[in-house]
Amino acid sequence: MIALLGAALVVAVAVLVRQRTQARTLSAQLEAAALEQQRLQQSCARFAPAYVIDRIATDGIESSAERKEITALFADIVGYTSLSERLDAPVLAKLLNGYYQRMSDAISAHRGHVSTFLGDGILAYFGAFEPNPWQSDDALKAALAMRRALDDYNRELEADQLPRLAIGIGLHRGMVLAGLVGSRERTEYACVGRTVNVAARVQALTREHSVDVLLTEEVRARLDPSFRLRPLPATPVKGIAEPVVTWTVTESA
Amino acid sequence: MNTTLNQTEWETCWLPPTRDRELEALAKREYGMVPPNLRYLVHCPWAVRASMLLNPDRAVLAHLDFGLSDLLGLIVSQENSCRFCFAIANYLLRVQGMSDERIAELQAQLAKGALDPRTTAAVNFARRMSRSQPAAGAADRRHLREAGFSTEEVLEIAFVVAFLSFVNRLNTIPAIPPGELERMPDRWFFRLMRPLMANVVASHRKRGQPIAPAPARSGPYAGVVQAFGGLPAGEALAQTLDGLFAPSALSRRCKALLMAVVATGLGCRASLDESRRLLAAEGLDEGVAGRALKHLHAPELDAVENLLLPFARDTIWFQPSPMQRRARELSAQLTAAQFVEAVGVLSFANALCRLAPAVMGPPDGGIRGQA
Repeated sequence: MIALLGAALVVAVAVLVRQRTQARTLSAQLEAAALEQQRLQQSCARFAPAYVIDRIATDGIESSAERKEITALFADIVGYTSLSERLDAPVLAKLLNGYYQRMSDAISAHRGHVSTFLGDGILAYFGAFEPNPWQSDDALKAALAMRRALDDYNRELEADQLPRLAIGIGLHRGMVLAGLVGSRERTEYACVGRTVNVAARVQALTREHSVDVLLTEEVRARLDPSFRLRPLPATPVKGIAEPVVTWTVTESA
Repeated sequence: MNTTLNQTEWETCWLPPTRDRELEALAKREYGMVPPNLRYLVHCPWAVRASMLLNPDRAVLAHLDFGLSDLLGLIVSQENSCRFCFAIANYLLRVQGMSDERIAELQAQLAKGALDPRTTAAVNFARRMSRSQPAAGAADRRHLREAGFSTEEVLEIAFVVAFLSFVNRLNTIPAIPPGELERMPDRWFFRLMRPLMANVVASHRKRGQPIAPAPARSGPYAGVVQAFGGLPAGEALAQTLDGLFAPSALSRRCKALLMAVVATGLGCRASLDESRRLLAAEGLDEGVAGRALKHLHAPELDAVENLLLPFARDTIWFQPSPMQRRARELSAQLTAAQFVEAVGVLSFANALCRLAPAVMGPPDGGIRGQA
């Protein structure tokens, strides 16, 4: 009888120890997963504002959408199509990567966020991640920094006997719908609306006006007056009823 | 140490540690030891004193329990990516006997949102207030009251978060080295000496007592101080503001400009109005002040002001390493006293601009008006 009780006790203790070990393992796994989630949230903050990540975690993707005022910067390489036909693919890729890196650095240095690379184009936002009352100045400073960075890059390209690059940059400020958008398979934090389209269209006007940077009246109105600007004739733009008045910059603040 | 923060990029501190007998003696009286950041900050004595005066352990909390205040220290330091303050918060929890596993569990519970509703409400409020995107306000205070916190506790929670917003920046901007503090809890002598250290910490931790409301204050940011009437935290805030605006390395006008830039960046109406009143009192033309705040420079300002204004905005939302690199470039163009004082002013401005909307103003007429 005593032996039986003893055996039962040993079995009970063994079961208890095993359950406790399992519980500990589960708890450790849960903690590790939670910490991993936290790390992931921190990493995600590079791609979308931290509060948006939090909101998505609790309320889902649709909750991330909001209206806000931003300045959009759209940049494009002049004559990219012919350039891409002339160069071998690896050379072209190297040239493009060097260009993207330098332009991204110039944008980040002035508190802009590169949203996407569209072929040879770059779309960046100012004031999308954090409220930024100085976004117009920042965007134009970024454009000027891109101009300087491209000059430096062109010297390197020339030394490597590669063709020089020229760019057009368009800036426009206005309201957008900002949030995570996309399909089930691919989603990104983006600003959607007329503001972004106008920035792209204004960028296209740089060819017509033979300048590298163009900005709209909405940007100019909030700019530091020490930037030296030159007005350009109002020009019709696809999708906009009235001809668009633009300005180019001749000197930095 | 089990944390995601010790992987955060952090520059090497470029400020030479300097001894100051008076401040070190004060620290020993207050903490029983000299905190490792003190020698980097001695060029701005009022900021060092403020870091002790406002410390929740130093008789400023009359209602909030220390356990919650410690937890907020962990949360807000993590939120602000302050490795130094996070290491201190972790160190203090370890000194008090909490195991590394328990701290990790706490972090995991925070990440999972598995805390009790009252603590969760306080944590959410702390995160919202420190992020200030948008600022914490009446609705957030209401959530805290609904979770069971008294009006005084709500005020003290806001005060603790503001204190942490201050010290996090004070230690992050000049990249105060966190390494030794991060490694300390794993040292054998720490384990050996822990009970003794726990005694030292406990003996220097003091609860505050409610005080008689002070007569109406007329100095800078009187409204924020007034919101804490009857609480020791209000007195600590008033003394800190007096220290900040006393004659020192930076002019009063420069300090008001820095506070105004932070208020503009954070959209804090109360702080902006206050700093513009200060600028007018200092004789700065309203148009010049407007231009300076709109474009972060003005030809009418002096060289130091024009250097500091663009940097002020970098302290609002930041990644430590890029901000520290900019701070190092800036410090090369200033005296040590000017640079460290700018760090102090900007750190406190960030705290005030987060505190003001959290304890004052519309739509409920201020926290004391709440049922």
